[in-house]
Amino acid sequence: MRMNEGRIGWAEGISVSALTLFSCGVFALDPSFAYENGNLTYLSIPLSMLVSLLPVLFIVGSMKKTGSRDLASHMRKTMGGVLAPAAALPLVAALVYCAARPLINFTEVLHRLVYDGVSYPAILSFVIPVTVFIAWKGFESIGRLAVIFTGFIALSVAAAAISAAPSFETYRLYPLYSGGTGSFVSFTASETLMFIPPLAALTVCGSGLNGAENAGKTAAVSAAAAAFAACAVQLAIGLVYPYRVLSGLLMPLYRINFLSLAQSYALRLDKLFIMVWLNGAVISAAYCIYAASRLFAGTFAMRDVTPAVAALSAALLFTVMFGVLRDFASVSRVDSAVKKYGWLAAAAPAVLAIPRFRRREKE
Amino acid sequence: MTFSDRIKGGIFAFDKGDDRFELNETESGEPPVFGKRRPVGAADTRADIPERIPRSIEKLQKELERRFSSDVDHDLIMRRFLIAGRTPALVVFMNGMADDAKVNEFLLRPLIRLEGTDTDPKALLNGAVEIAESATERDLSLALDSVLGGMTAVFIEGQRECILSETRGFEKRAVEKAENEQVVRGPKEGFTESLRTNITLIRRILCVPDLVVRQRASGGRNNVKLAVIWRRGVTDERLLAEVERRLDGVDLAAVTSSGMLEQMTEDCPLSPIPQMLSTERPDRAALHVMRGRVCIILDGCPQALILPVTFFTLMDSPEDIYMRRPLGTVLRVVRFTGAVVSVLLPGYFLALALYHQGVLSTEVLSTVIASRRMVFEPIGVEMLILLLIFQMIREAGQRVPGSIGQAIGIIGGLVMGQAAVTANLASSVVLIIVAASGLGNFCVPDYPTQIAASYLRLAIVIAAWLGGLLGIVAAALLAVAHAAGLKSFGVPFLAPFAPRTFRTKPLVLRGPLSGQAADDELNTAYDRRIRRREQ
Repeated sequence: MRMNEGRIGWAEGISVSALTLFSCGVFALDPSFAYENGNLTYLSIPLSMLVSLLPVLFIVGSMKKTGSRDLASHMRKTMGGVLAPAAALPLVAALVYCAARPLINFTEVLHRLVYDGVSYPAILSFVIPVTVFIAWKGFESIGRLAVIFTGFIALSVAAAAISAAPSFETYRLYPLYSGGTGSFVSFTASETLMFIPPLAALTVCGSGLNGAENAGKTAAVSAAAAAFAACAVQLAIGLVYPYRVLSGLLMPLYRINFLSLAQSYALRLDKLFIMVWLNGAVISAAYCIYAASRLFAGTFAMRDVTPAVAALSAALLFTVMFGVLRDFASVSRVDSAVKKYGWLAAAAPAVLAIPRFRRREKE
Repeated sequence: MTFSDRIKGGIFAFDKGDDRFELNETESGEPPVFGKRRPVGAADTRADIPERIPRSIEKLQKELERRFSSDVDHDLIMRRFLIAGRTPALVVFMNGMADDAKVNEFLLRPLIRLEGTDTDPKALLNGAVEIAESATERDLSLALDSVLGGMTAVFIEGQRECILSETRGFEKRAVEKAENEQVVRGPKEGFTESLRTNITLIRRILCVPDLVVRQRASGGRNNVKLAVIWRRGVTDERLLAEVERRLDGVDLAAVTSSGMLEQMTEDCPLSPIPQMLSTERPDRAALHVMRGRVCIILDGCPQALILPVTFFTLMDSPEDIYMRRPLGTVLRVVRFTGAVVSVLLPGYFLALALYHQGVLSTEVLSTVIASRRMVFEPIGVEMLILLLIFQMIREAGQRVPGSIGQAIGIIGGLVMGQAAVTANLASSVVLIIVAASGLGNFCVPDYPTQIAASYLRLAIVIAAWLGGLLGIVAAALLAVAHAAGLKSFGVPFLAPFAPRTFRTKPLVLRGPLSGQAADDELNTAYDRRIRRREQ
């Protein structure tokens, strides 16, 4: 068996999961959709993160009933060797998409604002190989990298947000949400589906986290931590830019830097900041690719995870290239498709596990 | 249970606190991408079948003359004599390795002048042999190995056992200053090439009964011995088992240096990062043994290997704890800063100069442009050439004798640098960057780590040349990912930072001398006892 999994502790587990949720919630947001009717992302995104925890905890409960240490073995136990791979494929696809989404945004920002005129493939030639290498190194390395970089990323995000404090104006938060409650609920629900795959990845790597129960605890703590951080960052962004401006801004957290840092000679750190954040996106992407590969290998009863890592890395490259080389509208279309039908990814294992769950309950 | 306890035990506590990461590889591991698995148990196969000692002295002497080519090689001294004037015996020792006077005075004379009839080796050992370190041996191969190591064997007619006495008396270097790990404050002496002397140097510092020194074959066919040193009851038993397993796997034509052992037993031999600490200071080795690590000393090599190690162990200097805490803290901060500057500064400068000029102020930018006005090669090439020249000066300085080496350093640093700037071969700004980076590199206390850092610096410079800050991020992430996945005898290389352990002392700053007696990442028995008591 070569699953490159090892075992990691709570600090690594929480770091990697929170980092992935934060990357998806802050760096991978589609601005035209998120700020379409106003700005309530500082509430909707944290709420989405916490709501997305529920199906994951349900899966964890189901895993505990079957005594499974990871999602792949749980699915094979509950669904058998034929249905399990089929049910796992949507989650695998969703994880690859979650890996690609922040990388697409970062590549776009690097292309437009950091390396003016440099081609997308040139930028991706630095990003994708590193992501693949980290995913190939396995869960232990990913967890440790996350612990190392989480502190730097948190500091740089906090510095960027705090440096924009002189520009904060509360009136920019108005209107809260012109689409009404229905629109808010719809947005929150659709965002929830984006956060389920990264959280479900913890159950995929459950054995690396010393069991399903620890995976559940890690999911809970990391969702809470990421929700808090995302709330603070989105609030800072909302206080700086009105929603009409935001809907046209790609990665507004980076634009915040220009307000204050560019004016000061000593603090021209905007480019350093984005590079630090890119580390987070790369680690998150590697984590998602590893989890997808682990699930794929586990459900297909493969004894080696590396072929799956290679195949899904190719899928990641294709997705990112598709995202950056086509116009952004197509990415938005993919986004909305995932948000509409993405629930199938996490729902399939959970729903198909219900009979087993209920049978055990009766026993 | 209070609410806070429930929070602590329910959410923040995991099932298996002690086993959060694997400390030892207890299996031979996964097959590597290239090459075969490391062979296990190849070294001691010869010792499995004991070779009987012939009862006839005549026959034995002929056998020894054949084995040691006595027709051309006269180094093996074989002298026949009569014990108590009656029983024929043969004393065997290696000329130059054993002390003749000791053999004559305390072995031959008492046996020849013996009064009595009992020629049983054990009885002779008790009643005649006047050398304290003596024993009997039934295996001829082991007896001859000991003779080759400087001991003297006495074979007696009609006996299947021989007497082995410690008579080593070969020439060896005296205990001198540790040349490569000098400190201003603290012990000065260093290891020598003699295994016995080195063990004594450690025993003199660690006067504890739980210190265990196990001598065993090194695995080389040259029959050199090594000593594995640890503390019973403190060092993790699984770690010891893993050390023994890996040492069993060593099978080389000759083991002449601890560096060879290191390569044969480390987790990832292809990595540029060292996974063991090589030291020539007994005090440093003793301190690590005291904390629960294992020390390996090879006979004939003045460096001891310490394992397992982490990144922070490699960045430690013995002086850190010999100085007062504030001074030690400053030293460590300077050292870590130096290491970071050494690795990142040239690449960072290159990235800013080539891709991100907006980060630099107009004044800095114009200074850089002015200094490079007449320099003909691109800045990337200039940086690489200067780094290469710096490495060459360093290599040259190390290979030539002391005073000339220093002169080369001065000539290289001052004359060549100044000449290069005057001749417009290099710009002064790049020269200063390379010099600062080189100085930072020297702050790293461990020599193999210095070399690894200089390779990483080169990789980062190339990456920065190709992709600016993005290149640096890519190269640094690759390096950190590699280090994060690395293990030294099962202990994660970046522990106790990643993964986190229960360590309470600071990592970069110097902590108090009192407190944790053992490093937590080593999972020592000492720590387990403390934790159990706390629970």
